[in-house]
Amino acid sequence: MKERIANVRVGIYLGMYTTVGAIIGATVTTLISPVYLYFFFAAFLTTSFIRLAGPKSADFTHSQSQDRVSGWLDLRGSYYDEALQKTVSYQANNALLGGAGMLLAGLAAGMLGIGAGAFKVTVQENILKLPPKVSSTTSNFIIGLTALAGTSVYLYSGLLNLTLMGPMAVGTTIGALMGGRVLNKLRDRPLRILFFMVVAFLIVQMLYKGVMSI
Amino acid sequence: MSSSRTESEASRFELAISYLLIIGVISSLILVGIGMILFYFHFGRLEISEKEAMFLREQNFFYFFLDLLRGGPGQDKAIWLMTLGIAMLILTPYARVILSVFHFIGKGDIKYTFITLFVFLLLTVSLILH
Repeated sequence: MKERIANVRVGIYLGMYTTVGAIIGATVTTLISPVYLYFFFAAFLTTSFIRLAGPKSADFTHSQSQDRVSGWLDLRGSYYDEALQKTVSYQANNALLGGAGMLLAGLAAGMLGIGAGAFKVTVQENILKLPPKVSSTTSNFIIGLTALAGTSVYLYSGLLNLTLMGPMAVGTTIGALMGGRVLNKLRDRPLRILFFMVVAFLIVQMLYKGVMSI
Repeated sequence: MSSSRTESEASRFELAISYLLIIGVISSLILVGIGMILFYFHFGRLEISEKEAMFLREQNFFYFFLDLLRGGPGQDKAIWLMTLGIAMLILTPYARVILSVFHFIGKGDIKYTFITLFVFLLLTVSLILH
């Protein structure tokens, strides 16, 4: 059902940028010292906090105008929002600037081996002016493309460890399925506090590892 | 009438793509899961290993995948199953892009057929040339 909320056109258009970014990012990772990655990871994680102040589905307002490039790319759509019990129509804006943001997201994803989903959602919501639900579901689609592009570089470099990937693949999928079920039952505030705590812990951990590696 | 039928067909196609991908992901994870169980029974532990055999390395992903299928499980069934599962998981978004090309061709959307083909070529080159 999420596929019906996700906008395939937006996904493919933005996926073009993240793919290029991920290939460059993963290549850079194979060439530089891991010490820089710890600091870059910590710095990039701070962008997740922008998401905490992001809009809610109910806050979304339909943009009346659309720039020429976004219009030419036909970046618009609609979906039925069950929580709001109405069809939400939307049209994207700033396609080129959004593309640049996605290039950066792809670069970070390729370098750090992460999905950079929070950053991708932030770009879609704040630059492309897409509704939060469309942004999150379309982001899942783009993450797959970004991961594939980065993985090809890691495969060539011999950095893919089976004993690490196996449990991670199974664990993250089970976690995602459980999270998806719990999500609707959780209120927004505790969820944001939990997210803040996890990200803050990761930032401290990365900074600590970086400093200890110098 | 014809337009609404085309839209409905496109929607069905999108739904078919998503189910196909869910099946792909689940199959990959089942393979990885069985591989992990066999790995545990064979080695008596399930921990991160730094052994050379645990690292995947290949210049061309497609050769890697074909060799994996041609070679069969051999003696290391656990490692083979885990590798096959991971390879299938890697291929899932690639399959999504291929199906999207057909989706846009089916819709007669020339602009997005070319944009998707560009993404497809980018990924293919990346999987072949690295």
